Amino acid sequence: MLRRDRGALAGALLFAAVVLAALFAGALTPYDPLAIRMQDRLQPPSARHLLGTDELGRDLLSRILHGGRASLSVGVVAVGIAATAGTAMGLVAGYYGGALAAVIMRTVDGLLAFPALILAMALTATLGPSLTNAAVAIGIVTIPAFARLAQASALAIKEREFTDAARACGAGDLYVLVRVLLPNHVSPLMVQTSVSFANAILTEAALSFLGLGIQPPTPSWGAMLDTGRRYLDQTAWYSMAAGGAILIAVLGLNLLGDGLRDALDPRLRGARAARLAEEPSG
Amino acid sequence: MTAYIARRLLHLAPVLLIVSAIVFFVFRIIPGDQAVLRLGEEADAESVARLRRELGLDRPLAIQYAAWLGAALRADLGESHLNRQGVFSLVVEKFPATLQIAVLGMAGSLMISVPVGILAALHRGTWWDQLTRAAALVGFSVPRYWLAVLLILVFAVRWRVLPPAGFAPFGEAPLASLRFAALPVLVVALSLAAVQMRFLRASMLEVIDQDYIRTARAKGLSGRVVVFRHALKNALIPFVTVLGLEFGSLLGGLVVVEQIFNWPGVGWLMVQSIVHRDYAVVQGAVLLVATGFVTINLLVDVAYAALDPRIRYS
Repeated sequence: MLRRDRGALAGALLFAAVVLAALFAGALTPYDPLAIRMQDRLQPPSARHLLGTDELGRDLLSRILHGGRASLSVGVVAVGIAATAGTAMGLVAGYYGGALAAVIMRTVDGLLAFPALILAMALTATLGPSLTNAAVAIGIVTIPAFARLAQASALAIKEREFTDAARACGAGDLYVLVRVLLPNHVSPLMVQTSVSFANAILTEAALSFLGLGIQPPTPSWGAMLDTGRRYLDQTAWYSMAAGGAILIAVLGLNLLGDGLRDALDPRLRGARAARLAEEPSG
Repeated sequence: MTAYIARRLLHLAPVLLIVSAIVFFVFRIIPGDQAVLRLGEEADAESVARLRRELGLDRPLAIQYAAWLGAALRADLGESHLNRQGVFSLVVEKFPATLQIAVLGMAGSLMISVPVGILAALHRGTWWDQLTRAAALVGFSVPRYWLAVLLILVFAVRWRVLPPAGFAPFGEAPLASLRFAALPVLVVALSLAAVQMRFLRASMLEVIDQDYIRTARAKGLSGRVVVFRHALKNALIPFVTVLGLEFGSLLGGLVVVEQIFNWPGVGWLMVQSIVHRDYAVVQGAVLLVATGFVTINLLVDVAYAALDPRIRYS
């Protein structure tokens, strides 16, 4: 599937590069991302420091690579929470219908009534700023997208003959939900996962930018962008590098999501109707 | 149409109730006793107990929620403990600044997206179309805060033609206000235009393939009449929905932009209040933003139904 769509392939490669760089951050750069060397502060890129140094003389490249770990782990946890809870809620609501569905979907509507960043800000403000809390907050605000999608899938799939066939063979509700509805929901789930992952990275960076996410000295793209802008008149590299990292990760995921969507539903080529439910919050 | 609006309004009530409950309970997660937080750790037990009674913190949670909701319905969202001003009036006071950026940004984005989106659809598959699609995808993936920093770097630091941050009220000094607004508006316009271009192009392409467009062409109508009177009119219907949703989400999307440009709008107020632990303001602002968001979405649905009668009956 990926081979047919050059955009999706490029997206997958870009994102894979980001993941690998974050995973092997320690091996790729010789510098400790937390090692302070004041005599080397705010240096431009050089052979020694490929992206230069920050205001405390720390190597920017190694901070960017290690910052990727934080961004990606927030993305994984947030999307994990949202995909699991949202899909379960949506499938159950779609399959059973009635009062249960009404309660579930009204709650989802209630969550959807908040601009994502606002609710995430409120949650991290009350839970206290940290990597874990940012991930949980972003996970919660992402639930509606998955729940809506799963409900729509369940409504369509439960009317199909193979669902009737499974039930006629004596399958119980749990079997139908997990073994019939879920596997048939995998394609839209994949697209949503890549889109939501991109949005989670953007939202996490926005939270860290506002000081509500990952706390210093742990490197984080959003916080680096915020600190970097204070030194714009001295060095542009600082902010540019942090923003560039976010852009590469998000662009990769968006290309992948677009390609998957096109491959799964050619009618939607270039359109992005489903995505409108969750605008990027950056 | 009246029945449709009535149905949508009925749907609104439970959503707003859930929204208010979420807002109320999220702000109960705050660790520590509210009264102690306000009075400080050294406060004696008696004054803490008195403040707890005054704030109603000794009553059951459900009663507290009902009292809070009742007050909220009378536009009483409590008081900022930072400057002793009512939360409602504080948010209302900051709203025009946010609205200024949102409206100007939206207008700017349309000036980019409409011509570019239409041209891309009419020249499907050409280099222009490819370039537009690529630009839109990058524009969609660029974080707004990074775009803001880039523009500050170019226009304020390098060329020194625009101020890097600041604010002047439009009512008092319109020209200065527009100068300060230029960069934040440009950030919003560029990031919104990316989404709009993609959507308008796709929606134009869908319409152009329809039979009635072929009929219009077969009748011998000029290309311009077919494009503007037949195709664009129908392509714009879903586009209006997108604009409405974008406008609603701007209420949240401006937080970071306002912060970067030191623009004292609602988002800026929220960040400041979080920093100073002024939770009544954060809570009130979140409630008002969510209510505004839900209301705008409702208006979008109604506008959509008014433009496209098929929606009303589905």
